[in-house]
This record gives sequence, C-alpha cells and structure tokens, in this order.
Amino acid sequence: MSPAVRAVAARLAHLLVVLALVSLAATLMLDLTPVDPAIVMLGEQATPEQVAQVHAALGLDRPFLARYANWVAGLLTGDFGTSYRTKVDVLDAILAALAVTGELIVLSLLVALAVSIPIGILTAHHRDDWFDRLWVVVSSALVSCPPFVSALVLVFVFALLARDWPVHFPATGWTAFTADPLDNLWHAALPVVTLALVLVPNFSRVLRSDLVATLDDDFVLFAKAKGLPMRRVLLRHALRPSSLSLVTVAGISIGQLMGGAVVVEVLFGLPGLGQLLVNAITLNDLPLVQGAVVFIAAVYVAANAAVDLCYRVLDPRLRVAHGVVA
Amino acid sequence: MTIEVAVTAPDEVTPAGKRSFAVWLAIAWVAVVVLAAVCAPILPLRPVDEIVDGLDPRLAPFSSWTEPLGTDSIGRSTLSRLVFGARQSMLVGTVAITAALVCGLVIGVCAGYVRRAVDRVTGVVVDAVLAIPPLVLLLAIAAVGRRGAGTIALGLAVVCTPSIARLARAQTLQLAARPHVTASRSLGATGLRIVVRDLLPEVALRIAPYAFLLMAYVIISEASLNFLGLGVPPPTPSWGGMINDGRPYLADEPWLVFVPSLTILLTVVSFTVLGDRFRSWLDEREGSR
Amino acid sequence: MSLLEVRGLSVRFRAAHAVRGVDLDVGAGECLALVGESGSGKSVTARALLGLLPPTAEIAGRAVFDGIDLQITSGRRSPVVGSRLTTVFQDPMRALNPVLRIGDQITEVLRLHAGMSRAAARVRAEELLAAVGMADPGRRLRAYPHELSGGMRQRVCIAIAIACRPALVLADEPTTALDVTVQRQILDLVDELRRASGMAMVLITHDLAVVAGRADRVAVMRAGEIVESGPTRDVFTAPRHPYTAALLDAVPRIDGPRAAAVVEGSAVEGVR
Repeated sequence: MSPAVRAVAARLAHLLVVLALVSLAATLMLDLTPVDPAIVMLGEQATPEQVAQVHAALGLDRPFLARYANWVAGLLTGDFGTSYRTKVDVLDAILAALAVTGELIVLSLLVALAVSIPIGILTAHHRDDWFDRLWVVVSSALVSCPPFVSALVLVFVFALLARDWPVHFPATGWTAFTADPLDNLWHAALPVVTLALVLVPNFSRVLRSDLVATLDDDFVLFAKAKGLPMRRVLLRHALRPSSLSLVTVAGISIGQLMGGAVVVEVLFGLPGLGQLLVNAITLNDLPLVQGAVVFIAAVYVAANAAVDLCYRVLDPRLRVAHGVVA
Repeated sequence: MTIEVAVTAPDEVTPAGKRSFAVWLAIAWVAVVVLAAVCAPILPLRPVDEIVDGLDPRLAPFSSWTEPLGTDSIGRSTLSRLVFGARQSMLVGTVAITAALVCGLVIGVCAGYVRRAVDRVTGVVVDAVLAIPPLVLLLAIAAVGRRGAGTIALGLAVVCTPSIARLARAQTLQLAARPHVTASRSLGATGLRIVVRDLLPEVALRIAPYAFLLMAYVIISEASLNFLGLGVPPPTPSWGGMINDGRPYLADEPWLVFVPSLTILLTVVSFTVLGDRFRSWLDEREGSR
Repeated sequence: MSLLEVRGLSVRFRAAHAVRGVDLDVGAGECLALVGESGSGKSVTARALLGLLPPTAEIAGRAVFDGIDLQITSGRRSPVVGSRLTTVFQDPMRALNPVLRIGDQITEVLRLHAGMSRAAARVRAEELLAAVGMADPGRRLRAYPHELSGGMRQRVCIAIAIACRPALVLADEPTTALDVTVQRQILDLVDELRRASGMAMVLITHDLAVVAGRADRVAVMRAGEIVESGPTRDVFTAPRHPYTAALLDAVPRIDGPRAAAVVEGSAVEGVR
C-alpha cells in the first residue's frame, strides 16, 4: 500500500469507529431516559398489560446489545425505525426535512463566503486602515450575538418595521424550491442571512490572518515585481495559497450551522431537521431523536472528511503524500 | 536582512489605550452581573412570579420609577426576572465549566503524558463527542434528561469537555518535552508526581483564559436552549425564556425581546474580551521568558 | 547618458536608516556588481527601485530609468517594472507561487506586458524555457514549482525576468540559495543571456568571487552607503576603502588560509 492509500484507510477506519461510538451512545441514551415509550404511545391511562405488549412489540424486553445490533443492522439497510407518535418512517421524515436544512446550510455558506472573502482581502491588504479597525469591533460584536438575537433583530427591521416599505421579507413560513423557486428564496432570505452572520466574523478573520502572512511571502513580492496589477496579485497569487484555514473553518462550521439551523428553523417556522428534532424532543418521540442525531453526526463527519480532499485541490504540494518540500 | 528586521515589527491592531478601556468596561459589566446573580435573594427585588400591582403589562423601560426596566408580557417585573435569570445563567455556566475543566484537564494531561493506548482511546471518544454538533448534542441530552438546570449543566459540561481535553493534551505534549520535566523524571520522580507537580498547574494556567471564552459560549447555548423552550420550565426566569416570551409582541413592544437580548450580548462580549486579554497577557508572559 | 541613474536614494524604516544617499549609474548593456555584507542595504536599494518596499518605508531621492522617472517616492510601482525593468530574487524556492503551474507564471507576464494571446504566450514561454537551458520545456510548463529542483526554479525565474526583453535586470543574490555546483551554471547562463541580448544588469551579491570576470564595474555598500565604486579590475587590485580590502580578504583562496578581517563598527548598527 502506498502511504497515501494507507493514510486514507486509517482515516476511514477512524471515522467508522467514531460513528459506531455515536450510534452506541444514541442507543444508550434511550435506555437512560426516564421516559417510557409505551406511555408516550398509549397515554398515561394505559394498563400494565398494554404497556408490556408494546414493550414486546418494540423489542424493549430484549437485552441492550441485542437491541443495539438490531438497530445498527436496520441503519445499514436504511431502516431508521418508525416514529412513536406519527408512525411515519424516520428516514423519510429526516430526508424530507434535510431538503430544507441542506438548502439553508449551502446558501448560508455561500453567502458567508461571498461576504467574508472580499472583507478578508480588503482588511489584509489595507491592514490597520480605518476599515480594518472598524471590522475588528463589528465582528467581535457579531461573534457575541446568539443567532436567535440576530434573527429577531432582522425580523424586527426587515419584516416588521419594513411592513410599509416597498420591499419586506416574510417573518415565518416556507415554500418548497420545487414549488416556486423565487418564493422559496424569498422565505429563505432572513434565515440564511442570520446563519451567515454567525460565520462571517470567523471566516473573514481567518482569511485575513492567512493573507497577511502570504502577502509578506517572496512569491507575492515577485508577482508584484512582474508588474501585475494589485487586483491580480491578490486574487490570483495570494488568495488561493491563503485559503486553507478558511476551508478548514468552513468545513467545521457545518456543525455550527446545524446548531444554528435548529434555532433559526424554530424561529422562522421552517420544516427542517432542527424543527423536526425539537418537536421530537418535546413529544418524547425517541426513535426520531435517535435517528436525527446519528444522521446529523454522519453528515458532519462526512463533511469534515470532504474538507481534507479540498486541501489537495487547493494546494498541489499536498498531492505528494510525503517528501513535501518545505 | 535589514528589510525583514524592519518589516516584522508587530503592529498592534488596536492601540493599548483603547484596549484597556474596553477591558475595564468588560470587568465592570461582569462584576455587575456576577454580583447581581450572587446577591439576587437579598436584593430588594420583587418576587419573580408576582404580577406588579398598578402597572400595565409590557410596560416600556424607563417609564416607571418602581420598575425601571418595565414589566413583561403578563406584568411581572422585568428587572427581577433579569437578575434571577442572571443567577440561573451564571450558576449553570460556573458548574458546567468547572466540571468540564476538571474532566478535560485530567483526560488531556493523562492522554498527553501517558500517550499510547490512553491517548488512542481518549482520542476516539473525544472525536465521537465532537462529531455531533454541540447544540444538537445539547438537545439530545435535554431530550433524555429531566427538564431543568441540572440537565443543562450536565449537557454543557459534556459539550465543553472534549475541546478542553484537546487543548490540555496539546499543552502537555509541549510541556513534557521541556527540560525541567525530563530533569525531574531522570531524578527518579514518579509519573503521578510529575503530572501533579509539574504538569497540571502549568497546563491549568494556560487553559484558564479559555474558560472565559467557554463561559461566553455557554451563556449563548444556555440561552438558546431556554429560547427553544427546552431548558428550565416556566415560571423560572431565564434570559432565553424571556426573549421567547416577548416574541409575539416584537412588532409593537420590541423591548420585551431587546432588553434581555442586550443583556446577553453585553455579557457575552465582556467574557470574550476578558478571555482574549487574559490570553494575550499569558502570551506576553510566555514571550518574555 | 546612462540607462539607470539613481541620485540621493535614502530609505528609512521608522528609526532604522537602511539606505543613506546612494548614487548609482548603470550604462546600457553594462553589468554593475553591488557588493556588501547582508544588512548593508543592497536589497533595500533594489526593492526601492522596483517599488516593492512596504508602505512603512520612507523613501527619498530620485531614479530615472531609460529617460523615465521611476517616481520611487510615490509608493507606486512604475509601469516599466516587470517588462523593461525586471528582477530575480535570492531564493527560487520561495519566489515562485507554489499553487500555480510554471507555464501560467511565465505566460501571465507575456500576456500582460506584450499583449500576447494565450496560444502565442505559450509558444514564447516554451522558447524561454529552452533559452534558460531547460530540457523538455513543453512538459515543464505544466509542472508545479515543488516538482523542480532549486536550480531549475531559478532558471524559471530568470525566464520570467527576461520574458519581455528587459533593458535592465536587478539580480538580487541570484545564486546564494543554490548548491555550489549549480551557482556556477546559473551565473554562466545569466552572463550568456546578457551578452546575447545586450541587456544591462545589476548583480547584487555578498560574494566577491562571483563578481570577478563578470561585472564591468563594482560598487561596494556598507551600512547603507556606497563606500567605493569603480571598474572591477581597479577595485580588486587597488581597493581604496579598508572595508573593500577586508571583503576581498574574506574571499576564500586555494593558496592560503581564510582570512576573516574585521572592520570596526557593524554594518547593521543602523538597524535597531
């Protein structure tokens, strides 16, 4: 095996162990909860016989490991179980909700990058100028702002105050993209901006500090000595070698976005994974909680693995598995 | 070369004067919040669930002498709910972070010093916890536990421990290679003695600034959970809960939302500023050695 | 009239006075060696002419290149930089962009300054690589810098420098970072290219062994000032300044022990 293949294999093995642990913890969680699923399904007035019957039907009378093995076997064949409450298939519910959350996450990543790349370049190129100093203050305020607060400010200004303005945005509701793309984007606007605001300070700061280092590199100086206009020096020569940290942070931020999406979806009434999770928790619908948590973890882990691949595209030096010239 | 010497002179982003002003403001605000939280029961405040006589519900701040911050959606005192909310928030945060610091330090220092199997196992467990987005993990823990402050504190401790463990491990690896540690080992000190005498105090000091930054994070998370209605059950006051209560009145009585929002924002910013300052102070101390 | 005429060039970084009142003349087709130990202000001089100093540098003086004022005090780079007036850096490991192919790094100069089409620039880039002595230039165009050796990278840098047929190349320690065996090859290549095209060159170096037999004239720098200048032969046989004599003594010779003479006062005293 070449070192590159071995490195990828080791990483995959690590991921599998991590996912196995997550799923084990998710099952254990259900064992530890004081909530009895039979009571959830039947209501408080259920007789002991009925309860026992449900326990048998759900396989709850079997030992823990047997239930875990059974559940994992189900996962591998795409069977995440059925909801205690609505009796719908858990995977179907998750996939339907994923369409909404996925759109929010992708759009807010794009918006965040579109805003923070120019800001990062500007603040790195004109470091210590007034804009750079101002941005330090603005971004530390943004970082400290919980998403539900910024969402409420946005709703207050762009949905409520703007009621009589020619343009205003809906405070709640959702239209599927397939039904009406324009209306879909209209409803997605405020939630996406809320989520993007969480990312922009971090993104721009990371890009700025990498760019500042790169701009002092000899190859940037040499590019200037070639007589290239500053625009080209920044965009073509400096940006790409400075974007590794940004890509890392963008990858990690998918987890942050999943968390932010929970709040935003509840606040704006969007039928996404977060809304699904919160409803399932409120209703003690444990298979749905378990399935959603494991699913989110899997997506998150996969996203982080994808980030590793991005490095190789961005920096050809990393394509050689070893013997990288410093 | 000349050019390098001259160019690498560090430029401060913010002048020292402005920075220390911000630090003093942050210290002042944190002191106010912590004092209010600690002294809440002995302060001359109305009970949190008493509806104030003679005042309208949703009274705007600064429009009454008896209730300077106005009243909430059903006419309770905003000020006393804010103060008891601070008590709730600070208590949960302190408990969670203390627990996370203790667990994270022990795990991280052991993993970093013993290495081998301990490192492998803790590494995988830490990765597994980090594989779940923090707020989702928090929700999952809230789902199985009883609604209340205890569950939130436990959840936050679980969420914060892995990152502390990672930091502690990295610092331990660095410190264990230092001459004084290798020296005491060659003088026959036992592993436990080295860990307790040489490593733990130094690693703890280096991680301390991080506790402030985590406090900021914990306040946001606790507020988010309460905002989602999955935190402490009503009528116990909490900052996130107050914002959630005020939401229906956002259009006409926005202060119901924005007074607690501003409180959260100020507190989070202050803890972040303190953590950053503490960290750069430690860096300077390290650099001047 | 000389090709490059520098009068009273001074550069300071805050308290540090890196270059103090330097006058330089380079005639067309001439090779001037700018000699001095590190920190003496040679590189800062070159970078000031190219407009590559950071904004924190305070520059004074005047430089005229080929009849055009370079406006070195304006903080902007003159339009001749990169086409008529080019440079080669010390460390080819760091001068090439690690994430762009060699071909793109050469052709961008041609397309910008000579207005060539993509295809024409590619043909010319291949010729250039052949001219700097690289085998299989067509394949090299697609290589990334990390796939080439140090000597080959410096050849690429030279190809970029001569791409637009410059009148003057400022070569800033072009061989210092290379292996001894490669140093010689690169210097010979530069010499040959210079003689063939009739371009002028300023060869910045701390190594007097490099200068002999290549430079027409020598200027010796110390602590930001030019302490001696003249035809190479004169300076080498009869140095007038004790510092020059000390530098000459420091050159290792086969026939004697290496003599490291010390001149009172450090060259870097002006810097911190």
